[in-house]
Amino acid sequence: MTEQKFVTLFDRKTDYDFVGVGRTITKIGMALAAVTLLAIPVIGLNWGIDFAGGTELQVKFDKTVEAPAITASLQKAGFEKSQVQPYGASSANEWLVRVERIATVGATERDSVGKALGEAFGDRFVRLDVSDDKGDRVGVILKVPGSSDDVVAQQAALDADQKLLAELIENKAGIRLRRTRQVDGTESTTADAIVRDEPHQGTVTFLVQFQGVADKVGKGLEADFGRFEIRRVDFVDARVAESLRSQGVMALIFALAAIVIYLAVRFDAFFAPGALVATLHDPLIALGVFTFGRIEFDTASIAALLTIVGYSVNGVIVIYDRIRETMPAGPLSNEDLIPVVNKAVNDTFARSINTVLTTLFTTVAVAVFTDGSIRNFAVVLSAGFVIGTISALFIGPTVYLFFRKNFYTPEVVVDGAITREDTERGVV
Amino acid sequence: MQNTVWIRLLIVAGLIGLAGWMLTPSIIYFQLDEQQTIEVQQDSAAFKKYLPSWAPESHIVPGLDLQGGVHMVLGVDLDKAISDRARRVSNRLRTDLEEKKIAFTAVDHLADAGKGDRLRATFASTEALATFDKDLADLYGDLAEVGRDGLTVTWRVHPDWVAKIRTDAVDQTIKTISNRIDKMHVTEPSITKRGADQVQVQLPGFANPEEAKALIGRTAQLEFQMCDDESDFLTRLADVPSFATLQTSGYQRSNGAFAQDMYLEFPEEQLKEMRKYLIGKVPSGLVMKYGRLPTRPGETVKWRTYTLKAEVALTGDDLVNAQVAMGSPEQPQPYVSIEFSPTGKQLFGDLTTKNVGKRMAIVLEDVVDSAPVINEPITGGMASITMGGSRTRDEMIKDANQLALVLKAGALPAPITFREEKTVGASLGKEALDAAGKASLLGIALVFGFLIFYYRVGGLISCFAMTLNMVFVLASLSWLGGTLTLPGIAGLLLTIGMADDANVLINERIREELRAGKTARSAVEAGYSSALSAILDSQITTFIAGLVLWQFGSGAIQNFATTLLIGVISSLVTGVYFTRVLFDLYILKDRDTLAV
Repeated sequence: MTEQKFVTLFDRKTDYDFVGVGRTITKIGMALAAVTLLAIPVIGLNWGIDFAGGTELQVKFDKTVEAPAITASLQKAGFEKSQVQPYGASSANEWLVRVERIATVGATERDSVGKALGEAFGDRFVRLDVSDDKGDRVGVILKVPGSSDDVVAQQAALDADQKLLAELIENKAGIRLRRTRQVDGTESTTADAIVRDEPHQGTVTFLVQFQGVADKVGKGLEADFGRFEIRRVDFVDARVAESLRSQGVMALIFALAAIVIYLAVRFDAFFAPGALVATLHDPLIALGVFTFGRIEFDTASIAALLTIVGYSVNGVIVIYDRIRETMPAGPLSNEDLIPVVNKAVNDTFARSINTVLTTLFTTVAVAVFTDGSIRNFAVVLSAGFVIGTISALFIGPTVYLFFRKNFYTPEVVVDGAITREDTERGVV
Repeated sequence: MQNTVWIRLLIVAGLIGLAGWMLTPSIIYFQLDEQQTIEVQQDSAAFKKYLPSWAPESHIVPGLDLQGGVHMVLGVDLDKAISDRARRVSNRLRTDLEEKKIAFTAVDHLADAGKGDRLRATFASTEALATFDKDLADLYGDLAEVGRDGLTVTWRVHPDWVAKIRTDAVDQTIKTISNRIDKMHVTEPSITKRGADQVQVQLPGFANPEEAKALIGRTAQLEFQMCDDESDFLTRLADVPSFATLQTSGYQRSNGAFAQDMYLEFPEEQLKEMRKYLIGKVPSGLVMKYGRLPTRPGETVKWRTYTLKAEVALTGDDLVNAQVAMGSPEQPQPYVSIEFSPTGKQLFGDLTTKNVGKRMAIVLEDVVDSAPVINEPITGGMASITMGGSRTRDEMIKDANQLALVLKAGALPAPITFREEKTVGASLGKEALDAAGKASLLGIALVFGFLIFYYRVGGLISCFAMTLNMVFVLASLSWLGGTLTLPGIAGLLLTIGMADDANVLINERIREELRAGKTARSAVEAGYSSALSAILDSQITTFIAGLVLWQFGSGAIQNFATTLLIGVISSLVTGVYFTRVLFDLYILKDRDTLAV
């Protein structure tokens, strides 16, 4: 029989002491996880727009611009709070601009509109209807002119009111109404931004649509910096952000619960905790990467965390499978088990390394060529896979042995003891 | 296992063929040049001519982040819809009470209390209240009484109606928005319901979100115009195109006189030509609009002309509700009951009084939906449109539902708010596509290179398996007509990276068995059987993660989950079944060593 030769990364079968090193690594891992748990509420995550809400624009200028200049320009346009950061290579002149307010109607605007309307319509002006829900839309409530008998005349009068309203808001209150741009470049009239409700019980409501945030930011930047290209606009309403947050949390909880159930079914009581600890440890450390690295945390990040969890459990299961397979029969003390565990990890070491290597090839490739959200996604995944492999090799076996040592009492068989059976049989 | 190798190879070849068949449309789609792509996206039927006859039609749709476009999530304000309903009922109640001369002191819609779904009436006397209970109460099935306090009765909108409004409002919004977007000539728009009260709109290739928002938010064009059945200019037209045929259809007016409905009938594809032909030929004061003729399945779709008076008598702004009614003893056929606003009531009354016996066209977004005959003057602000014609009752009910929806589509049922918007510029989209391509190439090259280097023939077999894996996933996605976004591509790459885990396990096991001294055949056999449980485990856990993501994610994340899920299933097939076939081929002749 000819001798088989293989290409291997290691000379012969490896014989590392995983359990020995494992104790140290587990302690480090636990410490890091604890630090992360404390850090998250204190330092906080860098919430992406999916979870924080707001409007984010990715803009590309024609020339070099400095961050403070952009912030100043935004403040001039009325956005006090804004986040500005460069995007991609510095030569690209691309920036990410995030503004918190998602509506262009603030308290000051409301007041100026109210004042202008009060002056123009006098008694007929009832009130302004503004709420966060309505965003950049405002309700203007006026009393109906004249009697309601001649409907057609009344409608004509209300049409005139509508035009007046548009003029007042733009000219006297100084707030731009939304315009629609047609394909040929012409813009619609201001009156189109106002929609009228049915007159009811003596009053009529006009719904006024203000200029959108992206539009306002765009006009401000254009005035200060000349031509620029808006490459991407993301807008997420605060309510949607909230529901995305809760959905994300639920997804994580569900996945973890499903995995726990799966582990409980698959393994006995000593293996399961080890798997659970290793599996929980990995996404926590990944969250630490987010927190300390100030990487934006958005819905793609949730996907990354879930993938890491899946991968992590995988790694642990392969090793545990091997331990179970090679475990000798009969009651074993913990000392007996250590070499068995070590051998199991060594046996599967090649697989563990190769798998993480090939997976890393793909995630690193994505990270190299992409930018922005998907790049963060790939970077976190890469880190997660490395961490996952470490925890599977070191933390999983260590915790398993720990549980077994402290909770397992083997049957004690003592030679020559008188058993109840013996008595009953009448031997003794 | 050896003797079945050829059969199994055949099965695999068959699967590859199937995958190829499913992928063909996508390959063709991505080969189209820019001009052709635009043409195909605006008219989905045009794609067919680029396909060979045996290929299926669905193909992979590039996601918004790859081709640029607008993604919006609209919230439908259902509370306002219900409040509006309460208000309209209060108006109706007031009118009814006045007509029936039941004395009352006040009828109010309690707009500011709670959800605004309540109304209250105070009657002048107990007799009045009693008369109301006896005569009118039955007609207000959409109200549920909340309380009675002496002569004051308070109602709220009936919970059954509330539920119905909730579902109807969102469906109606979707239909309205679809209609409007059709007019925008957007490429493959997608309008779907999301959750209970949200609508997701995706407009690929559309660069201006403000424009999209404006178009979506406005009231749709619903117009009522009178038909002109007197003019016969159609008979005097010269050079009528060959695809059009002149038809006349007689009908009887309620005064007994007969009238002629004259029109040109033509196939749907020729709509543009028809329009061009008729430019300048229509007499002044009249206008030509077009509508679809009822088609039986299998027939080509035909359209017809409608000669209408130019003046628009009434618009959708004046219509507040349209509902299907099943018929009464006097009128056993199903009909659509429509309700006008006070302004509309007046205008409609004038219109119908002047035009008894004539036909009135209902025009939605410039397309004529139908042209029923006005049988009598309608001054009550409510009208019924009977489904005429000799059709089965079921067909009439279906038509009635359709018409009601069309009429309601003229008005958005409830105010919409823009909850979420993502716009990706086309240039960014192109860059993203580029990046995805490069990343895929690099990733796959690295993985393949490593596998072949480390596992040699075993590695080569793994590479075949993974190529097939990718083909299968893309083919499934193509056949489902699914979208592919950047995260989706990442999911695909990830599946490759994780799927080869199976191959690594198998190869490592085979090596072990070989080291133990087994021959090639038994090594392979043992390798596969012992690795299988670990492979299943790893794929199951990935599957669980993917399933949870799919359930809770939306948009691009869901796409990632989809490719992950399909990938898991596909990698089991390719990673285990397919590689086994290849291994068996490799060791057709038993040997002692394997280049693994």
